[in-house]
Order: sequence, then C-alpha cells, then structure tokens
Amino acid sequence: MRLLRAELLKLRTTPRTVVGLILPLLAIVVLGVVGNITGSHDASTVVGDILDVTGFANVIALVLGVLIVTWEFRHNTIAGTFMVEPRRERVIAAKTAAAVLMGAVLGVISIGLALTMTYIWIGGDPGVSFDVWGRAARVVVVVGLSGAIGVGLGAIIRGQALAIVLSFIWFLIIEPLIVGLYDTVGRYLPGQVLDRLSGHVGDHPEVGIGAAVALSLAYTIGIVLVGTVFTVRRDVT
Amino acid sequence: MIDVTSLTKRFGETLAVDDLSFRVEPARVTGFLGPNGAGKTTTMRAVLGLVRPTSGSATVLGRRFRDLDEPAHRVGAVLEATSFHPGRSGRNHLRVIATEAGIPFARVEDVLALVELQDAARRRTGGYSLGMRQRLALAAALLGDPEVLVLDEPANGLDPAGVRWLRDMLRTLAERGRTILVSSHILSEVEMIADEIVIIHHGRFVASGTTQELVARASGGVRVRSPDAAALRELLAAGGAEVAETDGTLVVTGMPQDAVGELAAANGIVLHELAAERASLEQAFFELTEGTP
Repeated sequence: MRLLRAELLKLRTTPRTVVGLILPLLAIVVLGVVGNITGSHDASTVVGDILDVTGFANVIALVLGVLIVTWEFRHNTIAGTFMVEPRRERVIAAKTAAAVLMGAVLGVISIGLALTMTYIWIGGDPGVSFDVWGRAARVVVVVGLSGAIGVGLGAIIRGQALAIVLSFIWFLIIEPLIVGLYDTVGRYLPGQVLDRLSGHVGDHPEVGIGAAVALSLAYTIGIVLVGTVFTVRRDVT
Repeated sequence: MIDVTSLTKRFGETLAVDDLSFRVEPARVTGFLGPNGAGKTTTMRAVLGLVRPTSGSATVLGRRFRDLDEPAHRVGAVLEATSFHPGRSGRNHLRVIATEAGIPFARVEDVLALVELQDAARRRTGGYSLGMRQRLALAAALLGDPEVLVLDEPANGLDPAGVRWLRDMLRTLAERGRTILVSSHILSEVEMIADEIVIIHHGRFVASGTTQELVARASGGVRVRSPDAAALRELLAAGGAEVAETDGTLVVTGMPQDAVGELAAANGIVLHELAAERASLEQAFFELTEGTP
C-alpha cells in the first residue's frame, strides 16, 4: 500500500507530464464526438462510434504505464526506490496497480466527456440497441489493462522512447499487417483481443468474448511477469 | 557495519571487482579510495543490493541488503547527483521516498533543514546546482535516520565550504555511532574527511588502515622537530622506524604520527613540530597502487 501511494504521489508531483498526456486525450475525444455527430451518421449507431473513439485512452494509458517505469531508469531514481524496497517484484506490482488505476481513471474521464457531450448534443437518448454502460465498463477495463501492459513493456525495455516507439510499431503497423494477411492467427494477437474485449466491432473475424477475456488477461499478466523477472534479475548500474 | 567478503563482479568481459574483502566499522568515517574505474561504485552498489555479485558477498549489519527489514531505516545512500526527476520539487522528491518508507512528512522538513535546503525545497530539481543536488541526495539518505551511510563521491561538485560542511556533518554522525563509507578519487578530500581508508585499484584490494597509518607508510612520513633530535632519533630507530634528518628536522617513516608523539612524551623529549607530510597520502597512494598491474 505504501508503495502504491508513493507511485500515485510520483504522478501527482509531476503534473506537467500527466497533463501533457490527458490534454491530447481530451482533444481527441472532443474531436471524435464532434466529427461523429456532425457527420452523416445514423443516431442509433453514433453512440457506438463515439465509444470507439474513447479507445484512444488505451494509447495514453499504455504510454503512461511505460513512463511510470522508464522515467525511474531515465532519471536514475530507480536505485533509490529499490533501496527503500529491495523486493523489486513489489515495486513492479505497485507500479502495475498505479497504472491500472490511472488507466481506469483516464477511461472514465474520456467516456464521461464523450457521453455527456453526445447526450447533450443529441438532446436525450438516441435509442441504441446495446447496453451503453456495459460497453463503457468494458472500455474502462481495457484502458486499465493497457496501463498494466505499458508497465510490463517499460520494465522489459527500460528505454522510454524505445518502449513507446516499439509498442506503437507493434500495435499500429505489425499487428494490423498480420491481421490483414493471416486473420486466423491475427485474431489472437493482443491488440485484437483487447479490442474485442472493449466491444469494438472490427472488419475481421474475432475470437469469442470468453476467449477475449482469457487472452487479454493472459497477455497482460504475461507481459508484466516477464517485466518483473527482468527487473529482479538485472543489475542497476 | 559493512562486510565485503571475496566480492567479485564481472560485467560481461570486464572484471569490475576482483576478490575484494574489507570491513567498515561503526563510529568512524571510512574513506573508499581508488582512481576512476577502480570498482568503487560497483562495490557500493553490491553492498546496496543493486548489483548482484558474481561471487562472494557484501553484507550490511550482518545481512544481505535485500534481507534487511525497513532498509530505509538501516542504510542511507548517496549515489549519483542526478538521481532526481527534474520536474519534481526537492520537497516532493523527499516526500515520495518518505511515503515509500513509511516515514512521516515532518521528517522531510527536518532533513531539509539539516542540509540547509529549505529555501529551495519548492523549486524543481531540474534547476538545482550540483551542490544543491548533493545536499538533496544527502537529505534523502538521512530520511530514515539510518545506522549505515554509503556515499559515492558525495563531495563532487561541492565548493570548499561545502566540503567542510560535509566533513562536519559526517564527523557528527560518526560520533553518534554511525557506520560511514565515503568514496572518492580525490586524495586530499578523503584525507580531510576519513578516519580510516580502504584503497582499491583495478577492482582489487590494495591497502587499508587509519589515515595516519597510511600516511606513515608513505616515504614522506612524519616530520618531527625537536631540540633533542639526536636522542629522539635513537629512540625512534630502536622502535623500528626509519629516520632521515634534514636541517634539524627528522622525517620518520614506518611509525604513525601518534606513536612518534607518544614515544617522545614517554621519554620526556620536547617536540617543536609533529606533522604528517601533507602530500604523503598522495605519495602513499601512488606507491601502493604502482605495484598493482
């Protein structure tokens, strides 16, 4: 608990970084809502499209997760942290918890903003065919998991820019490429199962929801565990 | 107390520390001396559990670092001067560590006052001078009021007044029974600060002893002036020391300064001067490390 409080304090005491991440998220959400509503969309599908836009929070949560680990290496504060808590797995656990929590907060903020804008603009319930709050909750879960994945990747790679660039290359280039070429394999990749879990309906065949839950958790836990093993074994020089 | 026993650390092909053993006793300031790249930092990081020894061990208070409970209350350390997030204020940096270690925020204000950094506490550490960073790092090390202090080049970047301030603070802490290990590659600095010195070179143990002993082992030795030089000279020679005489001043090697003074007093010989040669630690250092390949 002490460690988690400290991680959250680290975020609170570097407000510029956190604000620098939240502002673009809010901007994207606002633009997404405006774009969808003013576009020629059918009122019954617009809410689903707008929820898809809030998925941008995944990217921000991932970057935040990466930063929570890598800035300690970048500024050499990691030695100080490990001297207070030499059981390094606990440090990674606290960072993961902080990232999940912050991710969930980012998810709630972006969904809250998007839905509030939408309902005010449309002036009431547009009559959607799905459970909006259920979808919203799933988006929040996925944003939280993205934060945890960021921590795992940050712990494995340690270099801030490299970790962020590599994860973008994977999620934005390599994975869509594999999905396009071999969709039998592609549907099981992390980005795809997380997308499925969040309720986004894509153009390619997807795994069942049960498999999406299991695989999303497995990927997240796996990446965090590998990051933990690396962190425990490596020398801090 | 810090015990380093047959410590060896290899980074790939590089042998950073080679079968190194020494002990750091409480209630004294121990200088850890060696040229840059001698393995001081690696040794200290092994003591602090940050680097895993290839073989051998390093323990603090009889335990491996990671087996200490509440390590922040046992061991404080200053590593590099740049170990801060530049966007965080000095006070918040300390509050983060205090939160991790379960130390109340009131203690943060105490250590800020102790290192005389209250006025800059609100400022972001990115704008701190090197000296301020060293003070903040020292404040962080002192947060848990630890029994053992491990300081890697803490005088780096301090002006002469800062070095004096550091020396006085370490002296006070040592008097309160703390174990203090301070590394440096600057001999005159260590000579000013330390009671005991451990010298390493190329990752290997070279020599250890009190600062005075090491001074006495150097060819410079102890300078003595006495109106009764001839009698003193005989006594010193009988005591196993080598004595050279120039212009009525004796230069004694092979006997520490204290022992020379005590010998003179015991035999009722008046001394007009009793001093270690200033440059002699430097000489000792080069003599001791010269033979090391």
